[in-house]
This record gives sequence, structure tokens and C-alpha cells, in this order.
Amino acid sequence: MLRREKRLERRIAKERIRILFEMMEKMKHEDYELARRYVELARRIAMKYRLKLPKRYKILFCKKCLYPYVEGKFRVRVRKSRVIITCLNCGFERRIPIRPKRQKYK
Amino acid sequence: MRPEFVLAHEWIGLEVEVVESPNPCEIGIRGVVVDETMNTLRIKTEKGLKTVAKKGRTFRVKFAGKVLRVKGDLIAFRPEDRIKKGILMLKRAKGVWLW
Amino acid sequence: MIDFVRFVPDSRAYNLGFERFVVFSENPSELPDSVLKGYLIRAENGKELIEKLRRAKRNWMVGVIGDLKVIRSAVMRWRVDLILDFPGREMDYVTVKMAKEKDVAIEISISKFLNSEGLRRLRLVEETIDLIRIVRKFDAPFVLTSGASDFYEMRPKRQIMEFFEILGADVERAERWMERLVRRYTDPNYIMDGLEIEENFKF
Repeated sequence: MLRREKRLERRIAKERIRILFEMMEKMKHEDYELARRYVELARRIAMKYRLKLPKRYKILFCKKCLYPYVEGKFRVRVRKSRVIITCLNCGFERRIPIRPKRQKYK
Repeated sequence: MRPEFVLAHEWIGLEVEVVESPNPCEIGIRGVVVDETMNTLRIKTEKGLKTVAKKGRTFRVKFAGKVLRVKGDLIAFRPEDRIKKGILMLKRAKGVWLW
Repeated sequence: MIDFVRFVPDSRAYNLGFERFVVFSENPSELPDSVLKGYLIRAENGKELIEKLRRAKRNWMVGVIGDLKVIRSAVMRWRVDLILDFPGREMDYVTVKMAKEKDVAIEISISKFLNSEGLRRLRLVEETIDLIRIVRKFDAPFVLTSGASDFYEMRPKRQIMEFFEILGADVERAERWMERLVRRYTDPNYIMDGLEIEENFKF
């Protein structure tokens, strides 16, 4: 039985995710559906090889419907000490808390 | 990046040309891959989108600064499966040094 | 035109019409650079085989000699390229099938026919016909060579091919297998079946 090269797999998976998100950035104004397809592929790769999507990629698309955020298709509000991103395709709200740095008590 | 890893790497965004195909109309299709499924590549050419099956075709592809000739049967997996299966295929093939 | 031999050929050997030789020797580092180096492994058991395989360098072609047990474990190893022929080699159905799956070539050489006489040669012919039949059934990689250990055992390519054609071998296919085997070590543009680098080509 051959052993899998998991490290190599993960390295390639990371690169592929990077390429896919770069392509998505380019594509999202031309072909919206295709951009979603790229997000879907990148997420599938990440899930299969158990990688975390980096935070900078996570905030590029809606978690629920996987459509990337494009001008006019999402709303950002700051409310109740969190950033609230609403996807206007599906109405899903994503809340990112902004907590002030924890202060040291005496 | 070594040229062997085309089998495991992303094809979306690569320049591709169909070299051999049982269907004579497909020979010479050239463009950029925009989408990929288990059995097909979708190529964006000057004349619009073309869907080409992977099995039984030979592709010429530009990868890692080199021009490669790849048989479609080697990449006929789901795009996310190809990382695992492509590397295993390279490991199984004789004369390929992964390290 | 390629031939696999067990000695360093001189200019007389090249006159027979071969362009390239693969020389198998037990310590290939002493061989001259003009020939392709082959590492001949003579092993008694599986352990010795693995021990010797570890010493093989990257540009050496690896061939194995041993009894049936050794051959069976050799077929499984990734580094082994071919199973060499020698008088008294046994190959069975299972091994040939494994050789097909694992892409290990089987050498069938003419030298053992030259070294034997009478009834023994007759039996060799019988065995070889059987082997070729199994090889043909599975379409396993096989090479037809002279396997000579000195100049006087060498034969021209045409003679070798015709001899094995009588025994039922598919000669053209053997030639293709041989080229593929050698290409793996000589052509830097060859990666694996169906994956090649095309040089001097621009998009």
C-alpha cells in the first residue's frame, strides 16, 4: 500500500486555494456565477485536505450562499460593537465582533 | 514548482491547447481554462466557451514555465481529488523522483 | 537499437548494429560513462535485496537476479526496473501478473540458449514459450535481449528478434517496451506515460 504524501498535498492545496481566490477576484465583475464556482472549489479543496481558509479569504464571500461580495450586493454596518455584513442575495447576516483589547486589571 | 505537479495542480487559469482528440473538430481548440469538472474542461477561446471531455484527448499546457503534453486520462478526476490521486499516480510511476 | 549486456562492449560490439548498450554490473560506479549503467542485484533473500536496493543511485537502471521468492518480492519494489534473465530462472503466472501491475519489465535473453545443449535446451525452449504466452496474455512489459556476458555471445538484433518471433513473441512490442525503459533514464523530457515536456515550443 502506498503512503500518501500529506504534507505535499497540503502544500499544493494551499497554492490551489490561493490561485482560485485570485481568479475569483478577477472574475467577479465579469462572470458572477463562475466566481461562485471558484469559491466552491476552493472551499471543497480546503475541506478535503483539512486546511483553514485564511481570514482574508473568508471575508470575501458569503458563508451561506458562497457568492462573493461585490459592490451593491452586500451591506456593512457597525452595530452593537460588531461589524455586520449582510448578503443581499440571500439575506444572511455575518457578524464579526470587534472587541477592544482586553485590559489588564490591577 | 516542478512540471510533474500539473497532475495535482490547478488547471483553472492555465493556457491549454487540444492536440489529439477522436473528434477532429476539437483539435486546435486553444484558450484559457475557466472551469473544470470530473470529465470535462471548459475552455475560453476567442470564439467563446468550449467544453472538451478529458478522456481520450491530449492537451498541451503551459505550466511552471514549460510546455507540457498531458494525456487527458491522467487528469480525469474531480478537481479536488486530483491532488491526492495525482500525487499517488506520480509516486506509483517508475522513474519519477518526488524528492 | 538497444541491447542489454553484462560486460563493457568494445568497438566490435557496435559493429553489430547497436547504438546504445545498457551494461549490468554488480558495481556500476566502475563502468565508463559511454554506456548506460545498470545495477545487477544478486540476492539470496528479500532482506539482502532491500539492502542492496538502498545502494542504487538515481541514474542506474536496476535489474534483479534471484530465485522465485526473491523475484516475487523484487516485483513489488518500486526501484526495480527489470527482472534479468539467467539460466535456471523461474517465472510463474502470478509474478508475471504482478509485473504487469507494477510495471516491471521481464528480460528474455538469448544467451542462456547458447550456453545449454541437448535436452536442457529443449526444455528451455518449452519454458520460454510458456513464459511468452503468459506475457502475451497479460500484456506485461518484456524485453528481448542478447544478455551476453562476453562478445562471443552477442548476436545481431535481427537474429535475436527472429529467434523469438519463432517462439511466439510480439517483437515490435518488445522493442517499444525497451525504448520506453531506456527513455526513462536518458530523456530528461520524459516524466511518465502520457506526460512529457515539449521543448522549443511556444504558445
